[in-house]
Amino acid sequence: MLEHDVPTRDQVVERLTVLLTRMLRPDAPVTEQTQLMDELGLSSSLGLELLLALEDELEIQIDVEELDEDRMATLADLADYITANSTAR
Amino acid sequence: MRDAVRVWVLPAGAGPDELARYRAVLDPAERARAARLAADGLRDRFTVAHGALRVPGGRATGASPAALTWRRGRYGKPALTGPWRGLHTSLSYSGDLVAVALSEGRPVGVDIQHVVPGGDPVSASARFFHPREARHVAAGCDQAVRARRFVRLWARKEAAVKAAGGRLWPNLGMPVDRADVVECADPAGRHRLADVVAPQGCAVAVALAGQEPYAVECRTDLGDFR
Repeated sequence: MLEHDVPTRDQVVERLTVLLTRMLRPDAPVTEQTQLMDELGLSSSLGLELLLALEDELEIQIDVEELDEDRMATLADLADYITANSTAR
Repeated sequence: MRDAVRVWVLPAGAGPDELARYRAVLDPAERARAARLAADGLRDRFTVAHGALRVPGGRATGASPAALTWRRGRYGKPALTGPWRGLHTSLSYSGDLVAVALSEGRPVGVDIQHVVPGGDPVSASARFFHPREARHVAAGCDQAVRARRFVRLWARKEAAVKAAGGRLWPNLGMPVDRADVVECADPAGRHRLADVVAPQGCAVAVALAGQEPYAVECRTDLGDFR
């Protein structure tokens, strides 16, 4: 991958997993099927911190114009959204 | 007569007996959602918040709290169904507190936000808020002031978006700092905001659809609901 390419979905999943584990310290491992709000209790303000951290770590900008709760129900949903709606900085 | 909104700000924790009473008024879907929450604190907070919405909702409608049913709108906003459609509800939780709000006739949104230590309110507001609001946050004299300014604006934005039944993220740029009547972009509409007196370390805001003034009645207990 070139330095400023948009990250792959696998890379987004890996960083989301690390960041969510660090921020929310869940009892069970975070997987693609983890329900972010229903299982982890992710709030909108924590979601904002998560997106900011992800943007910094992956050097991307996430377009939030189409983001809503349905698109961040599971880690897989959010990874799909970010992969499709990000540009390299 | 002037419109009114009732807001309850309540502890998210409860003893076993009180939790059981809240659980008793949840519907099966809410109990299933509560059961999926892995941590005890999150599960109890969900139970208290949804139970606490049903108790005054039942009193206002004359229905059994457990019988109330909501339907989700286009972007997930729950609206009471059937004979209870004239009553509008909203709930929010943050940290160890929950907030619930009821309004007759006008769609309502309530939001509660704790000041979270260690966050970066300057970067967050620069990234997502109106530029004037971002400057206001950044101009705070220390980290505590910057964080308080950020959560107040965030609570006001989220309350307005909830009243509108819209999506939060595309509306974060909506300015809410200077006036109480704000314009949501999608769905388009005017909403009147009010800051609610909140415990130290958090911000609570409420919004009703439309620009007409209203009274805010804030309470910190539900009374007896055995």
